[in-house]
Parts: sequence; C-alpha cells; structure tokens
Amino acid sequence: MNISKLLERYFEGETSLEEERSLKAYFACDEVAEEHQIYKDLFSFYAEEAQIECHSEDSIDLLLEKYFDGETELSEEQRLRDYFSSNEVKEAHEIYEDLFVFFADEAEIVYQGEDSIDLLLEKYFAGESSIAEEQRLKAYFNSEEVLEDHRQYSDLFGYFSTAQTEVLEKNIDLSRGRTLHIVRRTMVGIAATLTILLGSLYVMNLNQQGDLDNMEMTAMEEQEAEEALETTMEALAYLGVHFNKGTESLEQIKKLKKTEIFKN
Amino acid sequence: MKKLSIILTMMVFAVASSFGQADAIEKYFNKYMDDENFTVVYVSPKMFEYVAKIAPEDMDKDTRDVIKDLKGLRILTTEYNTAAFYKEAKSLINRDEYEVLMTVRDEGTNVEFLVKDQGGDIINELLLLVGGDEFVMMSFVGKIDLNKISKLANSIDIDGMEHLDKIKEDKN
Repeated sequence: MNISKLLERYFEGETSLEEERSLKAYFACDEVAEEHQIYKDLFSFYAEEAQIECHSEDSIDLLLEKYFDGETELSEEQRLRDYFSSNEVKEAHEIYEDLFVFFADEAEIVYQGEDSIDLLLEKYFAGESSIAEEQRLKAYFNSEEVLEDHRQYSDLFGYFSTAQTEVLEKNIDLSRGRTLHIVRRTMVGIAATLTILLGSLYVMNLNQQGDLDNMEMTAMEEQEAEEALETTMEALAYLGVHFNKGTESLEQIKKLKKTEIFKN
Repeated sequence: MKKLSIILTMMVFAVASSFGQADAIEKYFNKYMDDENFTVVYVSPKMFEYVAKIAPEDMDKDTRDVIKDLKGLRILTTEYNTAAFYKEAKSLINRDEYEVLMTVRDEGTNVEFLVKDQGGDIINELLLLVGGDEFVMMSFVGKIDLNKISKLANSIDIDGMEHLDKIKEDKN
C-alpha cells in the first residue's frame, strides 16, 4: 500500500474505512517515514482513541501464516487478496500470487452452466425460485444462446421482460373521472325516474283504454247495471219529489201573491 | 340517490292524492259504509258507463239525459238517531265548497239541497240531506240540470207522485 497515496485520498475524503484503518495502523507503528512524520500526531491521536495496534505491511508474512493455519478473519483475507492483486507483491510472496489471484477471479465468476437452467426452471415452476434466480432465467432467455429444449419457455420469459418495460403513457385525470362518475350516476337516476314515470303513465293509459274497449259486458255486469239504473232512478225520483216539494211551496206563495194582485 | 328518492316520494304523493281525493262528504260516506244500521248505495263512475249503455231507448228523454250525465251516486240512509246524524252531516259540510240551494222544513222533516260549482242551471255535485223520521244523505256527481230534476218526479212512478200531480192540477 502506498501510504502517500492513501494520505492524499484520506484528505480528499475518499478513503474507505478499511484504508483508514490501515493508515491508522501505519502511524501507530514506530517505522513512520520522515515525510509522514507531520501527520503522525494526528493519527496517533486516533490510534490512542481507538486503541489500534501496530499493523504494518510487514505483517503480510504473519497474515499468510495465519491464513494457512486457517485463523484469518474475512477482512484479513481481503487484505491479502488486495495485496496480491496489487503490483507491489514482494518476491518472497510471489509463489502465493497465483493462488490469491485465482481466488479473486473465482469470486467474480457466476456459475452459469447449462444444466442449472433446467434446475432453475424446475424451481421456477414449483414457485421456489428466488428473485435473483428468476432474473438469471430472464437473462438466459433474452440471450441468443437458448437451447432447443428451452425454446418453449422463451416466449413466456420474453413476455415478462417486454411487459416490464411497458409504461402507461396516458395521463389519468382522477378528478375528471370522478365528475364523469357523478354525472353518469345522476343520468342513471334521471333515466330510472323517467322510466318509472313513463311506465306508470303507459299502464294507466292502458287501463283507461281498456275501459273503453271492454264495453262488452258480461251478464253479471249487465244485471248490476240494471240494478244500478233502478236505484239511480229511484234516487232521482226521491230527489225530484223533495225538490218539487220545495219549489211547490214557492209556487204556492207566488200563487198567493198573484191572487192578491188580481184582488187589487 | 337522495334526489332520486325525493322525486320518487313526490311521485307517490302525487299519485296518491290524485286517486284519493276524499273530501269531507266522501269520508262521511266511508265512515258509515260498514255500519249495519245504515243502508248504503254507491254507484261508481264505471257503473254509470254501463248504466248509460243499457238505459232503454223508450225511456223518458229527460231522465235519460240526467242519467247519462251522472258520474257517481252515493246514498246513505238510516232510521236510527236521525237527528244526530243530520246534525253531524251538516257540520261536516264545508260551506266554502257547498252552497245551500234550498232548505225546506215540512211537518218535522228537514230537507236541505246543497250544490257545488254552480254555473247557471248546471251543477257538478248535488247534495241532498233529509232529516226527520229517517236520515237520508244523497250525493249526485256529474253534470246536473236543475230544470230536468224538477221534471223527473213526473216521469218516474213512485210514491208521492199522485200528491205532486194533484198540486199541479190545483195549480192549473
């Protein structure tokens, strides 16, 4: 690790926590280069605060030892990997370089063997696939290297990827929809009212027409009408009698007056 | 929905009021319709349509005309409590609606003629109230020509006609 470079990045505020930790470790040691002495106070303050132990580049040997003993932590392994992938590998360590470079390459590799597609499909249709796995399936079917056996599913997964890109371009105006809804409801109400009104009018009209058309009377109706006529005539006669009884009195008075006039 | 229900309610009221134009007299008739002490007669407008149809051709023309123009007839008579019923009936009559045409008191019998919507000799409803030995309430609805009514007694053969003719003879 180039301490000068790290310091530069540190003051730029670009260092990672890991890098800052290694800086602090460097300054915690006694072997600080002269040009870095001015920062020593600063970092030793941190070191005191965090109780950081001396941890210099030389410890690579120690780390390797720990590594082969299987006692390294993940962060330490990362440091080893960083060290070997950098160009500053010491000659003494070059024998291990291939090993760690292989690890670094391997970590980036994602296994994408053909056989796994069958397995993934099986999991997918069983509903057990993870989102990452489904993503892989989609990527596979969108590539042009789909096997003949898998062609039947390519439409399905192709649909998913095109459906994902679909965007509703029309702007939905919610307030306008609401107004429309209210207007439509009102219209339905008015229509229903009109229907009931016109319907009842029609039925009433029908009944009245029926009255006129159905003047063909049954025998019973005729008998009832006969009785009604009789009753009406009697009633009218009764009325007439009483009416005349009243007017008769008037006539008598008139007659009386007339005779008086004649007398005069 | 609220509006719709209001409209519906209004419609129901409109229909109900047009069907049930029961005035005081109609209510009075309805009140005693089921009373066994009363003799009740009701001839509906529809029945009058039939009556006009079956009225014989050789009938007296005036009588025929009167019957043809009638739209309804209600009769209510009883021999019990006549004075009380007469009083009740009179109190029920709306004097703004009905006009007294003639009142006759003769040998303990009160007779009152009331008319509605009078226009010349043609009236729309004639109400006859008789109180005495018996209580009679008659309501004639329709176009009624008073001139024709006075002639009715002559053409219809019932009791009292002789008496009437006698007077006429006297007159002549």
